[in-house]
Amino acid sequence: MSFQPNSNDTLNINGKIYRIAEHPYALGMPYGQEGRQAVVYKLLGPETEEMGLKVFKPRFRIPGMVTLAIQLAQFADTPGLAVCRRTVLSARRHSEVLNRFPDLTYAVLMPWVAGPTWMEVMLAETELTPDESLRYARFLAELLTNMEERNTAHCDLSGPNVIMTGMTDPDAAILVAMVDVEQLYGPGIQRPALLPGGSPGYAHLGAVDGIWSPEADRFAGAILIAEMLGWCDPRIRKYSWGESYFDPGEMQKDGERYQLLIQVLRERWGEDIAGIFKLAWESEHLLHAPTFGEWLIALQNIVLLPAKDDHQEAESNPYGESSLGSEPVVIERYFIICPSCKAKNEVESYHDITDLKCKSCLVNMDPFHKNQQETAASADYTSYSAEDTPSIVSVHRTRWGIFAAAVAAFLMVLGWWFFYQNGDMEVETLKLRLRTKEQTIRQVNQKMYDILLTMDDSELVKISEIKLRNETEDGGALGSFTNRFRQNEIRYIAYYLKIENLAAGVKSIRGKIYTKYIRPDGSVNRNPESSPAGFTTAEDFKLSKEASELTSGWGNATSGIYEVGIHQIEFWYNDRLLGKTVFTVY
Amino acid sequence: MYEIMATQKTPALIIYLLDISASMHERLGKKRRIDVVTEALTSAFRQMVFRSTKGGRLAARYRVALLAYSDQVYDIFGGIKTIDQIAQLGVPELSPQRSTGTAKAFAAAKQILSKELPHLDGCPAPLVCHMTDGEFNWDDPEPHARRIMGMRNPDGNVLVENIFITDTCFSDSFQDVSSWSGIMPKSELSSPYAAKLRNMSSAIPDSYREMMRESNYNFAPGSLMLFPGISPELVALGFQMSAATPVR
Repeated sequence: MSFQPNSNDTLNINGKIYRIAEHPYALGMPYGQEGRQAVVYKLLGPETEEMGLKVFKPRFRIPGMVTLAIQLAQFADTPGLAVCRRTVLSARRHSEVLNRFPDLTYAVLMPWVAGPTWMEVMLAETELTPDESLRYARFLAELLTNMEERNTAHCDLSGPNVIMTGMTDPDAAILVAMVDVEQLYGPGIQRPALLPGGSPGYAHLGAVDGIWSPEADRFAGAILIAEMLGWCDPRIRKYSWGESYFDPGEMQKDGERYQLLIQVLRERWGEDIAGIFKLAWESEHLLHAPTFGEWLIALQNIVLLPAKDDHQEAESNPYGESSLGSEPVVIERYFIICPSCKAKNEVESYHDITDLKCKSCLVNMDPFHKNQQETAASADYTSYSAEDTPSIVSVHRTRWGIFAAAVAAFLMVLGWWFFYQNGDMEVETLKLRLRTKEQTIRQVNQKMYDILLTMDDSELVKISEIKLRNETEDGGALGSFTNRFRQNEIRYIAYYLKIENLAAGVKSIRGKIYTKYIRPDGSVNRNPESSPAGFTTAEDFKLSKEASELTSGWGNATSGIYEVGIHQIEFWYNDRLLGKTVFTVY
Repeated sequence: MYEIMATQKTPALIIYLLDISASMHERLGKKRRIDVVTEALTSAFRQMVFRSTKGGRLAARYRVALLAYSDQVYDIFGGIKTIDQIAQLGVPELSPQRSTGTAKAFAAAKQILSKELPHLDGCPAPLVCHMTDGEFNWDDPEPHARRIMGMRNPDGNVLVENIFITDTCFSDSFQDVSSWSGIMPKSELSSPYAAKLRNMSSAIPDSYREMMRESNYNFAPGSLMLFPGISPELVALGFQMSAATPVR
């Protein structure tokens, strides 16, 4: 009988009676939430115990869940990973309940983690104070750093998989918890047969089909931390896309939401935090994204200071004691240099500056002088004390500045007199400069040309794209380009390689691309009669222009030659691995 | 195509057209046909609720209109309702009426779609799920259905699905529903009305097939959104398909 419980139905698991909880918002319905792989029901046990029962959809009921539960147990005491403490319902140990409900085979019983998901917080536009934003972001960064140091990663981080436990219990020691840990990467854990694709709004462009590696969380984790830090700002809440801050279609693009978030991070949390997020956003590969250790150090360096709104207090004691709920002020100050008298005028920010008059000479300053910002955290201001005022430091700097300007002016006048007294000399000088520039360019080009000619061809060939597709024998498409194939639908898996000649216009490159097709068991697919030694096939190519496409493939007119599992194809040229691709057969 | 996921910001629109003619009193297995349909619809709504529940919140990922028809069309919910609103209302009890004005029902659906489509640019393509157990009276519904199938938004053409509750008309035997690959454009059908419904059925998008695969249903590429309701299980399968818009 398929498992379609009603609210208040009971289950006997290991001698304990659990009741299916009622949905808080759906009249008479059981409390269930469906994800990609399973439906999780809330169970109420004896003595107010709350548990979750994760019932997997048929395709995801894998006997390996039992072993996975044993492997996950090592993380159960990590703050935020309580769901790793779990019982898997198996025929050997839970025959009574499984006889009644076979659909519960390999279902997982685990602690219920109370609290809204981060996605829920964003959808409801729940306000956070700056203090709360910082606390949640720090806790998440600590949790992820803890995992990173243990060579572990969640591998499917996203708003729905992060529970804000601190919101139901403000005194809780654990502020943030993770759920949906079935694809966790860690020591001794077997790679899942089916990896979820990256979650929209959190997936790195290089990993949309899913990734299972210790660095898998770096991008999604960066997005979550940045979202939490930004959420105390009304602008971020207002312009958030919906179930995530970013529209899934704008990931890693220089869009308006990205610009806004960077601006808010910079204004509220400082250049370091904004810079780290920028690195993550612009990373081409997850390995290039910052580690969570770097995030944590930057977050721990943030000092809570009195709110910016209280100008009077800030002016008299800019580095006073912090208090709970106060707005953190970064160690950064904004100045505009007067274009007339060069005096330094302190401002709150570079935005909405109109009719700003210089305090020294009363000239109306151009708001575009915002580019002349200086930060108090750099240069001379790190040893700044509360007694000093900007005007004293400005006086010292201004005296030296005036002297330097006078010397420069004298030299300029001298130079002008020397070079521009004769009008012809000015023209000749310009011509000379132009000729020199052209000559320099020619020399550089020639050097590049010589270098390219001497470089080994294998360093000049680059694979810029690899695509795979299921096709008929004569190349007809049987689906779109993908890295996941259903076993009984496969006929021929064809690869399409886009190869670039980095020396296009200088020289042509020709040779053979060697392919190595590695089966799920690690063996290399070879034809003993025709395959080159150590490889599967060799294909000739010639690159005279910038790019060319190579295609080939393997298969059969009927299905079944591809085993279920993870397959890999490597592409080699002159003993150098140019690229590889991985595909899954299920 | 058909890749846009149903989210609170981009909800999926599903319009149900349910035949409540007098013949729905007849038995399908041990229950009345109308009761089988009500149960299957409840199950589909429950699935939508589960897919919309994240933490303690019910996100409005689906918008549903429920039109029951006999010789008239009855808008059961009084307009389009979001799934969180339906969760509060519950599934209504349907009572069989008289004759089968299928064309009117499709015309009403087309009216809803004409009004809604201009606002559904970033949303999944809408779906019209039609359930019937017999031939229509009065006008032929096929031209209306085909006009609906020609309407579209950036995600794709509007999908039309048909669940045909009948004892005969399909030559396939169903020992195991999970191994059934679906009805193809050239599948043999013994009933002329089933053939008409086939002309009024969209092909199952790949993304929907993928969602159904998770529940172990394996529809072949190119199979149609036409389901023979010869058992309660198959009726339930048809309604499950109607809720198979990809979600995150």
